Amino acid sequence: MFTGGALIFLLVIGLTVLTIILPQERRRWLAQQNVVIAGGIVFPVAVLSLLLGYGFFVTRGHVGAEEPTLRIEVIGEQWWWRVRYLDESGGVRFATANEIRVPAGEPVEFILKSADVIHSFWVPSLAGKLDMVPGKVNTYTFSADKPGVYRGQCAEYCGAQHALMAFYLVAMEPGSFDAWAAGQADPAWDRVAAELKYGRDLFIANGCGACHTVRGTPATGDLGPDLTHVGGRLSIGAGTLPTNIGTLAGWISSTQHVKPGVSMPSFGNLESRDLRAIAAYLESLE
Amino acid sequence: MVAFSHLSLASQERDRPRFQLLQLLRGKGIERPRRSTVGLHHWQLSVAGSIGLGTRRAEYPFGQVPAPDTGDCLANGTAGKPLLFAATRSRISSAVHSLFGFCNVYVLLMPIVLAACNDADAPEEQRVLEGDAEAGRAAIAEVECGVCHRIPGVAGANGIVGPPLDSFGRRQLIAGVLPNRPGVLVRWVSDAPSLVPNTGMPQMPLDKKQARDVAAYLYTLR
Ligand code: HEC
Ligand code: HEC
Ligand SMILES: [Cu+2]
Repeated sequence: MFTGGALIFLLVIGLTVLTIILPQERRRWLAQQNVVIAGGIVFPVAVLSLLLGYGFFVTRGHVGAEEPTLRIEVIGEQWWWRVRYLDESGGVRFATANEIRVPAGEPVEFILKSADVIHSFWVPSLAGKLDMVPGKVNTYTFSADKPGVYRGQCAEYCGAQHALMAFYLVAMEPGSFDAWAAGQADPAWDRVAAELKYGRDLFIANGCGACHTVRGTPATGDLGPDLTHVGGRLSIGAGTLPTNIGTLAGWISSTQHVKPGVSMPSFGNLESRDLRAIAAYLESLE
Repeated sequence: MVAFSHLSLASQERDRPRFQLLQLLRGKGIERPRRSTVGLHHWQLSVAGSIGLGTRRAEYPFGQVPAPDTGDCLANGTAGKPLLFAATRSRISSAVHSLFGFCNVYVLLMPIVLAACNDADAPEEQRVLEGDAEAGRAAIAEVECGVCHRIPGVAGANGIVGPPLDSFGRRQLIAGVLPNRPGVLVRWVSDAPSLVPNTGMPQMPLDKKQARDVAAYLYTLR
C-alpha cells in the first residue's frame, strides 16, 4: 500500500520535474491525447477502484459482521450528547448524557442521530469519526478492548460551543458494567437522604424540571440532559468540567459564562444557600 | 475549561523559574520560614510602634510579605525570600520585636530588622503552611475552583460566581469576615460553609494536604 503510493508520488513528481527542465520539443509527447487519457483517466479509475474494493475488504469487520451485544443510541444536540441504552426490542432501557459506558471487549453498536445540525461522533483511540446527520441514522459497531476512560469529541463544527462538546467513553469490566447499568435504570428518588430533600425541592421549585428529567421526581423535562444519575458521571457540560459540588454550583449559577449560548440560562438569581443545596442534591445523584 | 489548555502551558512557562528555584532551595535543605511577622503593613507597623505593641505579632504566611514598591516593609522577591529567611531564622529575643517602632522610621533597614521578626514558637495552626504551592495550583485546576473564581496562573480559571483571587495574598479579610490567616484559609478552601454559613462557596473535595497546598498557592498571588 505504502510502496504503491510512494511510487505513484515519485512518478508524478518526476513528470513534473521533466516538464520543467526539458526543452519544449522533447516534452511535447506529454501533451498527446493518448497520454492524457491514459494517465489522467484510465490510470486513476483503475487504481481508485482497486483501493475501494480493498477498503471494503478491510472494514468489513465494522459493518455488521460482529453481532453487537449492546446497542446505544447517541443523539448530538447543540452542544451535548443524549445517550439512550436500548433493550432487545429497541425500546429505551434508560437515558443518560455525555458519558457512555460499555463492557470492555464486547462489540457495541452505536446508532447515531442528530437533533439539530451535523455533528460527528468520534472516540479517537477506538474508532474513526462518523457523522450525525439530521434526518438520517448512521450506525457502526466497535469495541473497547481494554477497560479505561476514552475521551470523545464532536468532530464536525456545529456552532459556538462545538469545542466544548466532548464526552467520555468508559469501558468497564463486563461484571461491573451490568451492575452499573442496573443502577442507571433505577430512579433517583428513594436514595436521597433527608438533608438533601431541601435541594431536591428547590430543584423542582426553580423550574429545572422543565428541561431536565430526574426519574422518580416530578422533573420530566426533555430539553436538556437527563440528570437522574448526574453525580455519578465524570463530567458536566459535555466534558467541560469534572463533576463535583463546586463545579455543579458554578455551572448552575453562571451557565452562560461557562458555556455561552447553551439553552440553559444562568441561575444567578439563586441565593447562596439554595445554590449550594441544589448542587449538593445533584452531586448526591450517583 | 478544557479548551484553554494552551493557556496553561503559557502560564506554567511563566512561573517555572520561581518554582524551580524553590525546589532547588528545598533540595539544599533550606526550608521556607515557618512563620513571620514581616507581612505587617506599613500602617500596622506605625500603629504597633506608636502604641508600644512591638511584641505583638500577626501570623502572616510566608507568601504574604508585601512588596517594597507599595511602601511596605520588605522586598518581595518570591524567589529570594527563602534564602534571606533561612539565613536568619534563629530564635529571636522579644527585645528585638520592640524594634517595630523603629520599622516605622527606618523602612529601608527593614531586611535586617524584619529578619528578626520571625517566630517559630507560634501555635501550630497559625504557623506558615507547609503547603506546596505548585501542588496547590494543580489541585485548584483539578477541582476547578476556576469555575467560580478568576485565579491568576490557573488555566481557564475565569469564573464570575465568587470574587477574583488576584492579589489574594494581600487580602485582609476572607469573605469579608475572617482574618486572612493560614489556619483559617486552609479550612476555608475545603469547608467554607462551616466558617460562614451563608456563603455561596460550597465544601470542596480537598483533603488536608491539598487544602494546605491550595492555601500556599493562594498566598503567592500578590
Ligand atoms: C431552558 C432549559 C433548561 C433549564 C430551565 C435548566 N437547564 Fe440545565 N441544562 C440545559 C441544557 C440544554 C443543558 C446542556 C448544556 C450543554 O452542556 O450544552 C443543561 C445542562 C445542565 C447540567 C449539566 C449536565 C451534564 O450532564 O452535562 C446541569 C447539572 C444542569 N443543567 C442543572 C440545571 C439546574 C439545577 C437547573 C435549575 C436551576 C437547570 N439545569 C435548568 C437546559 C436547561
Ligand atoms: C460555587 C462557586 C465556588 C467555587 C466552586 C469555589 N468558590 Fe471560593 N468563593 C465563592 C464565593 C461565592 C465566595 C465569596 C464568599 C463570601 O463572601 O462568603 C468565595 C470566596 C473565596 C475566597 C475568599 C475570597 C475573598 O477575597 O474573600 C477564597 C480564598 C476562595 N473562595 C477560594 C476558593 C478555592 C481555593 C476554591 C476551590 C477549591 C473555591 N474557592 C471554589 C464561590 C466558589
Ligand atoms: Cu460539533
